[in-house]
Amino acid sequence: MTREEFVLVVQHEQEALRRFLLALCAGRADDADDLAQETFIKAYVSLSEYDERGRASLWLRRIAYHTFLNYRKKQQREETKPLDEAPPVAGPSAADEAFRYQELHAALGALSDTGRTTLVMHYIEGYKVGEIAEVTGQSEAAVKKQLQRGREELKRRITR
Amino acid sequence: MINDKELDMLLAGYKPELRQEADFMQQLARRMDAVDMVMEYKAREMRLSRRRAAMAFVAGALAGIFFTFLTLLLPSPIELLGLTIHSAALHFLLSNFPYFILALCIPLLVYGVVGLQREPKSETQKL
Repeated sequence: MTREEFVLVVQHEQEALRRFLLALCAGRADDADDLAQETFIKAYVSLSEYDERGRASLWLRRIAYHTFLNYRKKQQREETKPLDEAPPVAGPSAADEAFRYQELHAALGALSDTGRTTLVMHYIEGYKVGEIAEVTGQSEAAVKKQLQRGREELKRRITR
Repeated sequence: MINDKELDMLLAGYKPELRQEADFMQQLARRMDAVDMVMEYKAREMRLSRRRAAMAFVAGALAGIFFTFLTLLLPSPIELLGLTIHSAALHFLLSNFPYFILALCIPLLVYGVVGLQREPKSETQKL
């Protein structure tokens, strides 16, 4: 894949990947965008490893998931930014957005990193259980169990 | 607590606003340029080091052949100067003198060839 082809893939995938990471970062937009940049750069550096028969979106999710796990490890070492912390609000529109998803982000932030990834990939992005298992390196049975538990946890935490 | 339907709707409708796509893409393009520069530099360095290694190998092999024949042809200092040596260690040293010179010369020669191939620091390195 050439740089031009990669840029086309990025243009096609960036929005979904940034939303995926935003959900994983429980609404922290700055962190999500930094992780998205890091994901695309890692993908660009390892373009030679990309199997063109596979789906680019799934390949990018795998890199993003591992980048997110590294970020979480680093965050846990520093212990400065818990994920259930309210995201910074930049203006009226951002405030509305933050309020709209505040509860969902807080509920997602309470789940485990893998549990959150599983839930976001399945219910928000529409990936199949097998694909999620491939990205997170778990068995399909474990993914199904996490989906069920995560769903119950979200229902319990979100009020209307 | 919400019900299944409400949760499904909430998750399916998850479309938070993102920052400007243009800014994101611009920043990514800058990072990709930096990656290209580093990768280009690394590839050039690898080509150079392969060339250096090949040159050093050829120089070492040629020097080895040359000095081996030279040492076979030269008499030892004991024969050359007609010395009478009583110390066994000194005798060993002087009778194998050409081989010690040979062992010293080849690494020096190879080091010299590798050093000659080295280029001054490039702009990337300075950065």
